[in-house]
Amino acid sequence: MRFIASPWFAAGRLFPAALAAALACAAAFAAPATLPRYGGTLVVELHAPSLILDPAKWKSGAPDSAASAQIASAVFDRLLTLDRFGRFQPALATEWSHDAASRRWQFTLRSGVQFSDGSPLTAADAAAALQELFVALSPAKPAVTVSGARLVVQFSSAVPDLLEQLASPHYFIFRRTAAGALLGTGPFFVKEFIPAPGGTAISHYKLAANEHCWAGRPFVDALEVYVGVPPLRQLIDLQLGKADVVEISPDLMRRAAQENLRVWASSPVLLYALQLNAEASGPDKAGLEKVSADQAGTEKGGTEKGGAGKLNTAHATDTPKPTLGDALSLSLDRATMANVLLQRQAEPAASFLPQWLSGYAFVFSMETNLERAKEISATLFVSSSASGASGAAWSSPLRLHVDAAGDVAKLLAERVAINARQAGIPVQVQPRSFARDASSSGSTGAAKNSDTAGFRLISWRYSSLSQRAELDSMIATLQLAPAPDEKDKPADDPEQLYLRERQVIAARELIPLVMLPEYIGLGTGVRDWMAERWGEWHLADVWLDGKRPLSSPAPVSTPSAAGGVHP
Amino acid sequence: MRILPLLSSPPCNSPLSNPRWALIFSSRFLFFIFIALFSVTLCVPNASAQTPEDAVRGLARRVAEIHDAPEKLSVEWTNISSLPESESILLREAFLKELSSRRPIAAPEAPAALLQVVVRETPTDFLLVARLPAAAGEEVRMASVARTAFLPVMTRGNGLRLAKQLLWQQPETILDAVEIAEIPGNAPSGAGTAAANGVADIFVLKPDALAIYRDGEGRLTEFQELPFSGYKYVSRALRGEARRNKDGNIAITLPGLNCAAHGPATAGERWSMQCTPATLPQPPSPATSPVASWTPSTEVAGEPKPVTLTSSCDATSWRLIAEASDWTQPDRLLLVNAEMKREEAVAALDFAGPVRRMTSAEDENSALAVVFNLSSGSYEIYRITMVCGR
Repeated sequence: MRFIASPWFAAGRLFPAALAAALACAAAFAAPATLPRYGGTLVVELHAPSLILDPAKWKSGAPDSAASAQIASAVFDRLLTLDRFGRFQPALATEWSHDAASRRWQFTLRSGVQFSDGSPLTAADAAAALQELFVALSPAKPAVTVSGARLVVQFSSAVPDLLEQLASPHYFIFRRTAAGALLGTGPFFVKEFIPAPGGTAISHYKLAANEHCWAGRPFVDALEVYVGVPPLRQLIDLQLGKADVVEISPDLMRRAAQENLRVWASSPVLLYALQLNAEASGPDKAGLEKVSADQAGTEKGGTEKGGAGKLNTAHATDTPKPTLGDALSLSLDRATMANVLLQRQAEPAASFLPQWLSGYAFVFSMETNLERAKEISATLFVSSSASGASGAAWSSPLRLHVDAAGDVAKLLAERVAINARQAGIPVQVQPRSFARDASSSGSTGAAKNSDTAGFRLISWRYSSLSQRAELDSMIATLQLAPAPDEKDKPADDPEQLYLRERQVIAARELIPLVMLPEYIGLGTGVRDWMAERWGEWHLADVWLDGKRPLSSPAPVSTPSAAGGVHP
Repeated sequence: MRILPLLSSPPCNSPLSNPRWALIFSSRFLFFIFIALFSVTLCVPNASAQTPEDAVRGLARRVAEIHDAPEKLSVEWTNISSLPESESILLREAFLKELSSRRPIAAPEAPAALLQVVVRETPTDFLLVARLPAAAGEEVRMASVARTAFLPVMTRGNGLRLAKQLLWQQPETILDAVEIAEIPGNAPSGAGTAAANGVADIFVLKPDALAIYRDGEGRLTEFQELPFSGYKYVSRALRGEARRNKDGNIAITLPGLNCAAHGPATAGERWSMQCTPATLPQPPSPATSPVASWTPSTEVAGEPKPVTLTSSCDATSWRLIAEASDWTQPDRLLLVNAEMKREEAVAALDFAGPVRRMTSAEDENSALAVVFNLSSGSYEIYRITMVCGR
């Protein structure tokens, strides 16, 4: 352990004080290194262009919302949390119970909790926040009421996984002030926001420690969060000691390893997948009409129904015929994508839910069979001899719209196009537009019937600790067709959930490609980085051992809205 | 809902003497029973929770009901999870016992359909996935068991005598632990070391109470718990200390609270405790103070300080020091003498998590270590002793 020089000590004001500091220094040398230390400023750099600290505004599955949730977890608390050993731990709620049908849930609120402005947390605050979040996030709109110090959440149907949902990042408790700011009870509060100066895209949040946090003061005095920082700059800042916590993109992992940087990896939390529309992927539709409509260069009237004359629309309705989705899926070489293209920083994906979340993902498998893909591709179109228009069906390639942001998405899209071409399906990659990059914080949730419909590369960031809620959210957000037999049944047990996911996978509206973990680069002075394997950080428990020169937090301006967060 | 007046006296004489009243009474009684059972069901949501063995037996029954598969099965059981192997073996045995009662199980080398059972995990559950090839494709059956079903229970370690002995483990936080042998009425004073005669009491400091566990027929049983009434423990650093004073009392130091637990005068009496609030130092202004060295409660020790151990063989004095860098790493205790550096340690003990506290016994022949097990999430108390030779 190293003594940290400080302006206070360097000033050498009084001998007794210097002596005391020297003794403290000696104690620091003598003490074992397991003692956490208070003080310092933790510098965090994020790639997301902005932070949205209002949980009600987060988009399901959007990677940028996940970045916001990481910082929000330092500002807000949830009713309860899930630890890495599968135990629900009390947070703002100290007790909970439910009826036998799991419809009526009761939560006893912790007493004596204060918001960052010193006002007390009431059950009405918690009820209002939860009600707002349920309306925004949950298909089941429960009634949240207050009974004394208790919250009562009443559903119309059984919700046995409510605890998993409430322990997930979205369900923070906050108070919305009249000015529109959000107050939290967490270990930090936002003290200042510094917009990106002209000509740059990097904005800056300053968060200060909440001395009155019910769970104890955080170890560091302040968080400085920079957003909109390009991945390469984050890596360099980490090397130079300018940042303590940075995101490392998978394509920079090799370099990070060569530089011997400290890197923490979560379980796979980001799914890349191809999304086809139902007509293109469904087993018994006049499939490729919509895909054809999205073909590049529809100068021959490809958007007209008549264009389907080039397609094999004679699918029998009783026996499912192979589809474009089948051909594409069979053509994809996921192992090469994960192991070569992404340098073993990803896992081939055969399911929507990751193994760590569902527990059963290993049962699924995705076959690569180029010959079969070619056969299907050929059968999808009327033979040239029948139509008299040799090769007319593929005269223009299918467009693959890249909705996901980042270089990884571009790499994957190019590889998908290569695999598809090998199977006889011409595909042209349509890069993510600058306008979309600038305007959209996420890559998911685009309407399926928009002009980018038909064939898209999307990314999905897992955010729920409930398998059922995550799958439901994915199906709803991406507008996937629920399995006909299962859509009205709550998936209460893993076997039901497995059957449901299997049916949705078989529909081929969404074809999983690869899953990636989150890589976090850590400065040499960062201690007790005890993030959860599902990617949740615990910034309040992180402390700095002072190997990076620490500076006192810079004077900040008057806190806005009494320590509130402007959404 | 109107509650029928069951306890009011029926008209006339005994109700059961009249068949009509007997009928009414019995129907009311049944109604009452129904309401009572319904209420219990509402109030005790986990009453129907099944044991892990029940879950695997249910899985075995459902596998046995698959008619589309060959009759004779061979079973391959794989545990790819954090479930301890000993628990996995118990589950496998329960599964095989139930399955074999319903379907013939083939020997491993005999030709039969292969039933693969894999134990995996989710954030909240262990998931048992059974896969069986069938005529119409693979049949999959699953059963889940809450991970909390395998939380550590009270144990008394007896197989770690070489250097460390597991005394206690619990999922709740342990701040400190003290072992005292000479409790009035428990063991005669000067009867030898606690480790040697095994009659010591273990004082476990928790955020809300001081728990006293007493040795009884090879198991520690809770003797007494002294709660810190009205006290709210707040510290991320898990600070807290319990130590025995020269007067025989236990002094407890917590953030904002000082307590003294007084021992019983005779064997029949119990411990008592008095607490007084302690003032916490206010955090200094960041602009004028060394932010890196400030701690909110400087008078409360929280670090595992090195402890002294005395060899029972040659009475030489040694020090036990912790090695880990923070609370995310498994720890190692090193044995050094006064002149040795860490690198020169003569012995080491590995733990499955950080050592958070260490206290030396009064005779210095043993020490207690509080460890947070990173694999199980439990807090564990070990008795550390020096062993002569191998």
